Amino acid sequence: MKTRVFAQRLVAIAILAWAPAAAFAHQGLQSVAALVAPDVPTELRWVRNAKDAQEVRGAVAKALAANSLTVHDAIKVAHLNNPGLQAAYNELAIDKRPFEQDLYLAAQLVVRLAAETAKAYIRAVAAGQIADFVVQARAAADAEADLARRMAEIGNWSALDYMRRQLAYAEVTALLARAELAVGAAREHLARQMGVAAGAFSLARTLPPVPERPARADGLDTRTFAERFDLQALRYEVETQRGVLGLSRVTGIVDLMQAGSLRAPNADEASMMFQENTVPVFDWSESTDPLAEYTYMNAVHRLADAVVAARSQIRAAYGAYRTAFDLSHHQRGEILALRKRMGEESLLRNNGMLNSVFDLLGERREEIAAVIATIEADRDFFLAETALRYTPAVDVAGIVLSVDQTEAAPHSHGPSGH
Amino acid sequence: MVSRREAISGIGAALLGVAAVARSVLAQVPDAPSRDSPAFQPPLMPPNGPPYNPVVTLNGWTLPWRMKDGWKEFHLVAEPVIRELAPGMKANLWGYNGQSPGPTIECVEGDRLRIFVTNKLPEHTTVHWHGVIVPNGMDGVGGLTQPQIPVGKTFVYEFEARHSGTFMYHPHADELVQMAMGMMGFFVVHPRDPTQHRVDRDFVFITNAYDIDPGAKTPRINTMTDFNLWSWNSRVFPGIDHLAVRRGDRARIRIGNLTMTNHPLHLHGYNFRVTCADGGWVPPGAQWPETTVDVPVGAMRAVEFEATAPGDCAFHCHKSHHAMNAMGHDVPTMIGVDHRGVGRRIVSLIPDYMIMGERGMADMGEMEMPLPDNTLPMMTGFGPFGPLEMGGMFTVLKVRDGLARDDYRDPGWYAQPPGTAVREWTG
Ligand SMILES: [Cu+2]
Repeated sequence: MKTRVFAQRLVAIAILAWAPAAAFAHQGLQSVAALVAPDVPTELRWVRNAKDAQEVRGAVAKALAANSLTVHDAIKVAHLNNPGLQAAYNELAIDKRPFEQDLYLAAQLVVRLAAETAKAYIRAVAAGQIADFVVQARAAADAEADLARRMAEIGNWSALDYMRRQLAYAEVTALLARAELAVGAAREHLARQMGVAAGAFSLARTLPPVPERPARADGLDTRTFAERFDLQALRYEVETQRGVLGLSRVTGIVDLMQAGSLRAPNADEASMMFQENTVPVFDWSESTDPLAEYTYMNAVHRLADAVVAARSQIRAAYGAYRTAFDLSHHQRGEILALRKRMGEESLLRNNGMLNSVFDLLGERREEIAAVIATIEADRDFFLAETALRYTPAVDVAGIVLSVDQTEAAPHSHGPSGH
Repeated sequence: MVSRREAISGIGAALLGVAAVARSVLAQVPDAPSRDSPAFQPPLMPPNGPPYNPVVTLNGWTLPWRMKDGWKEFHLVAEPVIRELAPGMKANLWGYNGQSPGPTIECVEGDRLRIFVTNKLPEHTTVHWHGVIVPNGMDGVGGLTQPQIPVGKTFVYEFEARHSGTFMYHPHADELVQMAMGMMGFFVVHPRDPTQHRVDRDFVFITNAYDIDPGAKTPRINTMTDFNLWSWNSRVFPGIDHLAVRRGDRARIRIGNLTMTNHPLHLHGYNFRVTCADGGWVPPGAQWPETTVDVPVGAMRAVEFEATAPGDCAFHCHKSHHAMNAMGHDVPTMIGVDHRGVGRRIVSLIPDYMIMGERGMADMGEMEMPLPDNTLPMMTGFGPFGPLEMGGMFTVLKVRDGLARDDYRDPGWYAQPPGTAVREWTG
């Protein structure tokens, strides 16, 4: 996983020299790209004329021409082509926020769009893979119903026996319609992230294999503070307030990693200003503003509160990731493996005329159901992995383990909603 | 080499904490011989005591005894055993002295018998001498005529064999379980006069039934009617010994039935007479000619015939399901079902699937497909003209010229004289 320190963020910001109102328009995207590079190495384009538009169209067409779109290319297309993101650039250029705050906001939008696009991509591939197996299940039910009809026609079976099989086929047919609807909806969602038509791209038929070993959780939630853009923005607010209020004499230290608890400064902290995990508290009598204490401490506690929330979110994201990893392996290594072996045993019984071809096809449908549950478990793993990848940078709320297996249509909220 | 019985009983003793029998007591108890194979055993000629013409137990043996102070002393050990039902299938059963059924006990009218019974089962047991007239206290009915024999204990039954005839022994304690697990044996009392009821070849077996799920080894003891393995002496075709008889011999077949249904046993090529039942010998004037003897539950029959005509004569239960091995009773009839188009679709879903049954089930007799572990084909066996398509209670009586008196070996398939066999009509 990436490592990065607070100081590097400040370097990116320090190079600006433009007046605040025009700064984002002139230098914003370059700085945003530098900010998000550790999370999402990507290309950002602000389309401002026909030439820009033509270049973007060319890059998008090239990425979409592939036999199967990669998740990396899907994110690249989204960043080049998502109209909501273009709208956000323009909005940031005309707002009255300090340039730094614009950068943090833009960075969050860019990373969130990457996360949403990756999520949509995973759902779309999985939906297609599931539908392929529902087609197989329908083929099994179709063969059962067909044989049952022939059995009834020559008098080997009653109408009731035949109707039982026909009913099973009818039910699987309904399942397939729903599976195909889910494929369409998932593709549309991905298409919206990329700003293209749903028919404009081809996807992989299968999800990649889930890794053999899980990522480790070491130090994950202590890195949060340095890397989250929303925390950076809040911290910037505290620093700005200090300057505005004219505070410099340190009387206490607020430890952000201890839920904002206040303590006396050590000797070497008395002259220090901001450190990675702490913010200073000052002698309020320094300021000419009688409300200095409340104005400043409001900003400090909002920051501390956000740090608590961010650390909790990332721990939850890792918990969800780890459970999804275990469930995926359990589903494949235990449940699906048992189903396959049961299918083999069932076939041995069929060899001995100990069961019927209807039993065999029924077992096969059960096995297909286990395959579908395995694809769903893999999908949930990759969704949880996506959440874990981006949570250190932004609040990716909503991208957590999907507990509800029946959920068919993906959520739809793009960056334009933020 | 440690026999399987010794190994198993050793494990049993260790697991159950069976107390070792005191050495002084042990010294008085005769040996308990054991067998670990269902292979054919020649008749046991009596080494002592009054002479008699011994029987042949299909896939079994006769328990040796010792004479002591005028008593014939036998030792039965009730214990878990592993019985091969036919090559390719072994069952976890309970039996006596290493096998199920237990060894045949043979004695002579007037013999004084002392039968030691050691219980190495995980639960108590008794032995009932089915059909034998004994003092009430020797009848072996747990709770009624005796306390059950506890685990690890040895009890002694003593009685005089008063009537010659055809009998059995089996537990009368937790009887349902112990018989479902295979505990039973044949018991023959020979006439004092060896010329009386004399035959040249005297075969014995007990019909029994098991319900063993394909792929499993242990009978489902709670099954009442739907058994899937119908056996003679805990053997099924093609595992049952054939009956080799010298042409001109007088042959007897004695059958006991310890299943829960009757078995009409049909012999091809001969008509026979029922000469003995559980109550004793049938007077010649009352003997009834048959080719199928229906053996009721809990009863015995002996049939006799002069083996005048050479040939390979099928001998089987006439309930056709009883001449089959385990099969799928819920499998629907597929005869006549047109598989065109569907078969290929099924194979695309289940690559190793093979269409069977649309013309009947005879395919099964010819094909040798992989089956669940420890499972016999429903119908199997090959003869000189093709698949026999049999299982369960089926074997062959082989009457041949020129066999030696005690030669019971397989004489091979019968060579039919030219012009005596069925032929295709070609106009
Ligand atoms: Cu029968």
